[in-house]
Amino acid sequence: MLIKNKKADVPITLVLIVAFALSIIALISFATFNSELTTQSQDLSDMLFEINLAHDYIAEKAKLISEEAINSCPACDNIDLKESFKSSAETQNFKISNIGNFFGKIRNNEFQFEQLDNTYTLKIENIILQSERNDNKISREFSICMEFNKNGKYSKNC
Amino acid sequence: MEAANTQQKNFHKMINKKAQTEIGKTLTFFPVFLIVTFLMVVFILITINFSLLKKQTSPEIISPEIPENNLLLKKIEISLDNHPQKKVLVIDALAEYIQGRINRNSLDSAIKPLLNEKNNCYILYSESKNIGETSEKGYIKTASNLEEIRGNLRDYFPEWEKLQIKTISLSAGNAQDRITYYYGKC
Repeated sequence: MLIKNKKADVPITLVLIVAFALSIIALISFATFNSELTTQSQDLSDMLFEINLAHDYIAEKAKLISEEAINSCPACDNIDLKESFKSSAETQNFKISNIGNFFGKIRNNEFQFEQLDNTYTLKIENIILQSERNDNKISREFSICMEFNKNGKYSKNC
Repeated sequence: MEAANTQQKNFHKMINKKAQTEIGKTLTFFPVFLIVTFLMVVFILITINFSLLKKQTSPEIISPEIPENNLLLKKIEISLDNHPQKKVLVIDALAEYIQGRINRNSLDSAIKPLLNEKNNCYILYSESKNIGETSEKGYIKTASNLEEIRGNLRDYFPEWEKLQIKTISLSAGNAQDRITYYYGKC
């Protein structure tokens, strides 16, 4: 009878140990989870900011290069115009990183730059931007299609 | 008769044993119950403390930057090697600057024409590199004034969170730097 009573205390003792262990585990997970969330949020915010800046940079850069190319070669045919665009892009490349394959596409002739009447059209497809922080990665793929007037000023997207 | 007495004695003994067991159980249960309750209360209090510690005291104001107001994407004219007065973006000029190809005066005089009544102030601040040959790490430029920043940039702006001050990691060629910038009202 006495032995049986001692055995009955074991589950109650286990409740104490399990409750204590669970409390410790829960507290540790609370502490670590919060800090990880802050870091990840900052990383994601930085990556988005970087991608958006690169996207806007490429759009502004395309306008600058086109203006320079048109003004330096106003009477050129489409072949010379394309060469003029390539040479302007070369002088406008300041080797800034994280701007994807924009200048690579121009170097490899993977773009169109044509004149039709008094309108110039620039098309570059599948520009890929990528930003990485630790194990996280954000990629964005987009195309450019812009129209310029005879003075090389940007008029609208096509 | 004797047998009946012995049976009664045994019965009483058994009853006493049962009562003792119940008392023993009660005595064991209450301390354990109290300890578990105490631990639960401690757990809740510590959890509340943790959540208070993690709460941000001054939340950062996150607002999307309008490309038209982004200093880095403004067009400027600057003298570069073999290219006098070339039209570039401010970020290009900064890339040239961190690579040591242009100096602070060239950068400053190229950005200065951007100042007008609406946007009459800009800030350029480098975390790792001194801007220029002197010891200041950055400067706040207005149309008539130039204030050099020698310590922590936040010391110059008590209402830092309200301004759209941004920081970027800029890598160009083999050079890398973190540039903080602002363009707008003073």
